[in-house]
Amino acid sequence: MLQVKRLHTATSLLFVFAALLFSPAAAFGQGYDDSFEMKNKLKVELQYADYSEYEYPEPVLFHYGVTPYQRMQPYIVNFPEKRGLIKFVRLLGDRTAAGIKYQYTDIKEDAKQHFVEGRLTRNLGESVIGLATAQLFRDSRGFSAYQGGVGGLWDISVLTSIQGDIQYYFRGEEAVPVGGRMGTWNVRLKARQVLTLSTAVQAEYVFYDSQGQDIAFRSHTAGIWLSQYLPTETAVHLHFRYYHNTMGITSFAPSMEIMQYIDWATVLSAKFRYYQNESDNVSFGESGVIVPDGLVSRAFSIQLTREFSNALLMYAKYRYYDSSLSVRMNTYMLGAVYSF
Amino acid sequence: MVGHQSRILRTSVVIFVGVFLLCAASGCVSSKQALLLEKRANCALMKGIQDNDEDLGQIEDGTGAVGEAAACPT
Repeated sequence: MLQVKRLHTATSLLFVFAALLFSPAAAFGQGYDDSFEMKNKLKVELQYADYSEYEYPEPVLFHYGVTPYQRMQPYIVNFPEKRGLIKFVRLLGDRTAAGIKYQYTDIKEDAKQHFVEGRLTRNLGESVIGLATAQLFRDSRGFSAYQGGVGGLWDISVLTSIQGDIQYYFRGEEAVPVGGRMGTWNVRLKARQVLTLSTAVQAEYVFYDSQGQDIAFRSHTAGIWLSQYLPTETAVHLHFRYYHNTMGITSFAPSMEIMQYIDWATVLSAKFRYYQNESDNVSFGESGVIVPDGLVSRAFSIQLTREFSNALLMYAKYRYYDSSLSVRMNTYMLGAVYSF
Repeated sequence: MVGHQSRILRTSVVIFVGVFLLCAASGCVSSKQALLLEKRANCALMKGIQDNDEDLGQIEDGTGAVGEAAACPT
């Protein structure tokens, strides 16, 4: 599939202008969010991406015995072009919160996805929160997928917390466009430790065990954040992410994020991320999509978050992405959380 | 490519270790200082850290189509 996506300059500028006008934000904690503070919480978020350059990748040279041959290996990135979500969380009593989320994603020209999630969060004790989720995906290419999971967060002390989730994802044989039947277990563990008055470290490990119709693999993702608070009311986060997949992908992605209080209700954050991989030109089953070897990318983002009142938080984000596949992309995001 | 990767890896590790040692040298938390955490190590900016480019990693590693992109209860 040969695609050249053009820059939608006018739309982009309009979006940026709108974002600036609304003076934006970042949804900080998610998942086990502060659902227990307000009776109701409504979140709306919109995201739009455009590609300023997108070229067909060069053919890859293969060897069959001693005979070399070239084969086109298109890598078509499925960055969502448009995404919108609405989420509503309601407090049921003083210990339980129920939430529902709908998300629409325009993945690419011929693929749209509807996503519905139901979520129950319960305060199981003074410092323990439990979570249960059920998710449904409906893809316009004619298949559905399902996922369910449970998890818990334990604040052991003001200095230490741990968190764990386990989920199972399933789709049936009708999911031909993405490789057919697939069942995936995933486990996510996270721990945070305050080291000094101004320093914290957070570590995360994610394990996947995927068994599909044609492929099977296990993957491991490890991430560590070093987080430092400075006297200038600035938080600096250094992050290093390592990924390994038994089908033959290894990648690493260091990043640095600086978050600055403009005033106590306004936060400006800037982030730079670098990504590089080694891959055996792996395909996960989606026709025409591979993970190419030597992919390098850089992303820079800036986000402004503002709490207008106890009830209203707004945020906007711009991200520039550039990769060795000549994909250059602008992403704009605008969101708001209203509590009442 | 491998040399370049090693250089970046080495630089990242050195930065991590350097900042970590500087921070560790600044002392540990005592009970008297716990209240100060609210504005520093436990303030919203420090406590809510997450990989907000996680979508990029999932897409670049190609595993969004096998459940990974969907999996994120947190």
